[in-house]
Amino acid sequence: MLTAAHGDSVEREAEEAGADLFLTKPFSPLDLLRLVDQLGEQPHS
Amino acid sequence: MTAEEKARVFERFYRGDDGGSGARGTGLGLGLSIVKSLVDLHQGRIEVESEPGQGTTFRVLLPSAASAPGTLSALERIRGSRVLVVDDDPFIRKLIATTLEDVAGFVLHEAADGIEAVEVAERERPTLVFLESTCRGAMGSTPAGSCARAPAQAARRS
Repeated sequence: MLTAAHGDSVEREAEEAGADLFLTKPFSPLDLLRLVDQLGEQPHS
Repeated sequence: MTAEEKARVFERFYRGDDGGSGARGTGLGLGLSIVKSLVDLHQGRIEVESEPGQGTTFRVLLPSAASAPGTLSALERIRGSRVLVVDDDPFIRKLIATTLEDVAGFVLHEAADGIEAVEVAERERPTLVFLESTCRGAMGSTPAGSCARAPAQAARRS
């Protein structure tokens, strides 16, 4: 889930809907690659 | 490049003066920042030599030893996966597409709103979906939960 700012309610709601991870803007290409690497480590990905 | 351009050349969205003409270079100004990020990721460094009107040399130095165990291994495992990026900001879509498609070997699909996202998800069945949390312009001011649910369900039921 791409978010403009951290917010507990947004993240909680998205997690309940199945979001795996959050990426807060602004982010760098390195942040993005690290997040995708994390997703790849998750067993259901 | 001038000294000022050299100092800023790895900044995201920075585009230098094209050949001293005063015109900004083409593109989004993301390429070199991505290169720098990847070099950093590999614990390397990148050097720049440049004089105005004389051309530029970039030198990438990478450690010869293998990276620490586990580094990028997961990324390698899912290389080639289909990815859907949903965001109304074309710069964000381009940033993600450039990074994941050109650098990491993913197959990228883009959507500007939730309605388009559902259509693309049903058609392409992406493995990963990047969703802007509010999905503006798609389903009204749809809360994050609905935004996450709709394309994910579409991808699964296709």
